[in-house]
Amino acid sequence: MNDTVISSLVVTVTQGHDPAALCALLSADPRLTVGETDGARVAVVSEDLDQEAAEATFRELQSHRMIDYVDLVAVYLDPDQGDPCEGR
Amino acid sequence: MRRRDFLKTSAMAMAASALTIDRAQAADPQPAGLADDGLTWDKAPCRFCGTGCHVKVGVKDGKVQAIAGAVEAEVNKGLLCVKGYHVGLALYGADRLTTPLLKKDGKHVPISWDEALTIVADKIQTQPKTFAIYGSGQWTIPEGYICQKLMKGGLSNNHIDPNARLCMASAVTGFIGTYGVDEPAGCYDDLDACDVLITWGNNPAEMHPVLFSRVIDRRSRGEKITIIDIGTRRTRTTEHADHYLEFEPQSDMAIANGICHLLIKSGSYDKAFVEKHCNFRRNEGEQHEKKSLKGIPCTFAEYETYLEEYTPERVEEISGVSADNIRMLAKLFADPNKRITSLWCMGMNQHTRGTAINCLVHGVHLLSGHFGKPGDAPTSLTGQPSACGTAREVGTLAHALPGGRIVAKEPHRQQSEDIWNLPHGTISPKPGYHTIAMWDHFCTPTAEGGDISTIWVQVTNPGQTLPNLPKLFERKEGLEDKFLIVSDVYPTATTKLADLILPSAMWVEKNGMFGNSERRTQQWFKMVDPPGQARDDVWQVLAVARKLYQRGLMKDKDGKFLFEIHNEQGQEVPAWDWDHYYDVNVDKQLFEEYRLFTTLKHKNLAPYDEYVKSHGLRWPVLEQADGTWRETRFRFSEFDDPFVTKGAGIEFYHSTTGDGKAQVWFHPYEDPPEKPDAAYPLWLCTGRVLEHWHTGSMTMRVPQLRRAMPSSYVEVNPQDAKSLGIGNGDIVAIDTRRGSIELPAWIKGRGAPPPGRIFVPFFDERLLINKCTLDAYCPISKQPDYKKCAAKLRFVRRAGART
Repeated sequence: MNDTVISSLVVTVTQGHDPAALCALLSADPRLTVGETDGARVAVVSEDLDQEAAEATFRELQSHRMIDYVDLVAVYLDPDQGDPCEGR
Repeated sequence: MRRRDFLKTSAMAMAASALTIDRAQAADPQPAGLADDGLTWDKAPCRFCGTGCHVKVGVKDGKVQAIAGAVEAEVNKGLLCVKGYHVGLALYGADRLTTPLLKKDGKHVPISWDEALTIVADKIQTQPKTFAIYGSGQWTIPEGYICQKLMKGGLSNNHIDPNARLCMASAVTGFIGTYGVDEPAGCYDDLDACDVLITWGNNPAEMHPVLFSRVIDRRSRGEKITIIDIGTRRTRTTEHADHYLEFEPQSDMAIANGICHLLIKSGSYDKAFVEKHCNFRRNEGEQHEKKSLKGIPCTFAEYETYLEEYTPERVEEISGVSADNIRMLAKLFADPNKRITSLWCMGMNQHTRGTAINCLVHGVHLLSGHFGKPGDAPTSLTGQPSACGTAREVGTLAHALPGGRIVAKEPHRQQSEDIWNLPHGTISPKPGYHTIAMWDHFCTPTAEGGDISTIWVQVTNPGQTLPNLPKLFERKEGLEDKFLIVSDVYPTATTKLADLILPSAMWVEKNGMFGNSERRTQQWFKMVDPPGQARDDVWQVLAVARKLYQRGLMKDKDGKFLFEIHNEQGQEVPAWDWDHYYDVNVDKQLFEEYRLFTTLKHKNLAPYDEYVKSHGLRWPVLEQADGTWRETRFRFSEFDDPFVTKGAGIEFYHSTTGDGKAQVWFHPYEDPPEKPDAAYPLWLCTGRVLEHWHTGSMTMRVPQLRRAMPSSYVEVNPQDAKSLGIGNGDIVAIDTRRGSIELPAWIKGRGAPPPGRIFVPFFDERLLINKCTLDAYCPISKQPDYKKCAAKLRFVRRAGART
């Protein structure tokens, strides 16, 4: 995993869905680490903010009405890995 | 513990803590639950757009290592866009400029700061009247203020203009022409109260996503909000719109006139509001030179007559928007029970009749009485984080002075001279060159009248953003007596032609203040050191001024240094010496001096320390009896604006007619200066994308953002692509009468132009679309039109084929 960004997320589970089942589903994605839940929301860490993981994973879950919101709480950066402009 | 594991632990602690806290009661500045993660948190506005979101910046080991949305900030309530979450990485591109560089024999070679400052001072001293500063809506307020004072006070030279000329000058002239004073009356709170949101040539879903989300969030909570997108191509905003009205470029003027025509014809305009609060106005004639911000008065009956030709059917002919949809718009505005907010940004401002269309949209709101109540507001958005705070309020435009003063008026000059302790007569009454004229004169040989010899560029990238680059920038190459100084943080299209490059500190590497789109002034402190020898822009100007003082310039009328900085004991501090620059808060002293101007036109600001305590305050900010400072959300409305006379309800207290009334203007539809023809059959429009901010000089260095949107493209309608034999990803050439570039085609891309139109974003410095754009501008605001010119598309090679 070479990505530079780690994200703190809070996923709000759609009413009627089992948070434990959602946690199990999320845990299947190696780019996600599932943390605590308060019964309605789940704390998640993503190691890839790019559309691939954050968007694809969560959008699919949203489309199945398993989750209502994904709140991005914070982004942790690696300041040693900035890029110069390509083609310079 | 590996660094990555540490970050994951911190991230999980943050996520878990977010489960336990009530967002509205989050601690500030440190997010709850992070007391022991080793990060030091402080607040700052985001570095990028004009929304002015507040971020929390986590610093450890001298570097920015975490970014969170500031939950308690009213602007964004904890939310950030994809750029905002990555803003910290913009500091850490591998190719930061870290030492002054001088061009010698065609190469940039390192020199010392003292050598660099001496060169700048030499250039100014030898040719003070042909020296110019080209600044920015990304200048902090103190940065703009010190340049303003150096030029207009210290050198009696008004050749200073910001890049904001390219993005919001027409909004300024629209506000002044209508209300007599600049900047929106409403604020972002309107987005929480409106029933109808109309976007005029505006794509906030991508360009101001945090603001747009306020409306979408309301919908998700079950509220009914009608969104009407009046645009020239489908965008992500269109996806959320109830109505998409696609208009022929430039014809927004006809649409606005059509709405007003129907309001009057049906008798459904707000008669009481108009009678009490409005005058009517038009230009003297339709010749270019007759257009001005003053115009001449006309009666309501004359105004009605001028609008006669803008029947729904005639507007449909001009604009392509159906007569029924024009009626639908008029019916909405005729409903007094609806709250209607209009938003616009570059679509209306980058327009050869930018002042006119701004005035017309204000006119629609005034005529219908949709003004002055929460949710009823005509509001322009800015693209840059301090276009309002620094360009408009500090007045760094070529004709302006701080606090809404202008150089043409003697009393205004004298007020400025008094505050700066200069003899009366110091400030020149003649406006300096606006942006287009400045660069034209710089790129024209001296012998041919090109009377700008040196430009100092700060915090902007004109080598990528000026229109018609071959004429206004690239001609500089080979002009040996022209000297270009660039203060920046990264190599850019502009530094390529620079003779001298000065490495700057950026964002939280320095103290700063911004002013956002809703009159909100924001402050932050330096949190990390800049790399290498990069230094604050304020210091750069201060150090140059000191060198000039040592040569007998930059003195006030008592012979003192014009930029004396003092400590709390009142002793002068040698802040021009970098080793002493942070002995005191230079920003605070410059701001407190600037603040004296802000009371002159009801743009009152609070003391610096009030901004330290807050996430920004919207001016006018007035001290209350209990010593607290109160901001103003809705100007000109008695219920909120303390300057409105009691009992007046609404009062335009800077009315250009002196009677407390706003001006409703008539401007006829006019064709643009260049339209598609047989040789160049397509409309070319340019703009931005979600992932990159402006020229990409910062965001293209953030790996996540660059991977998400790695290069520029041209959006092509499938029908045009088919007729030209172009497939998705094929390389095509765009030709205009100014220049040509090659880039990949994107068919059915993110945006969807109709047949006959193409769109190209300008963030990619390898694909400079501004080689092709037109430098024609609004005759009043002098803002050029990047949104429409005639172009031709040519197939070059198939996707993946080698060159």
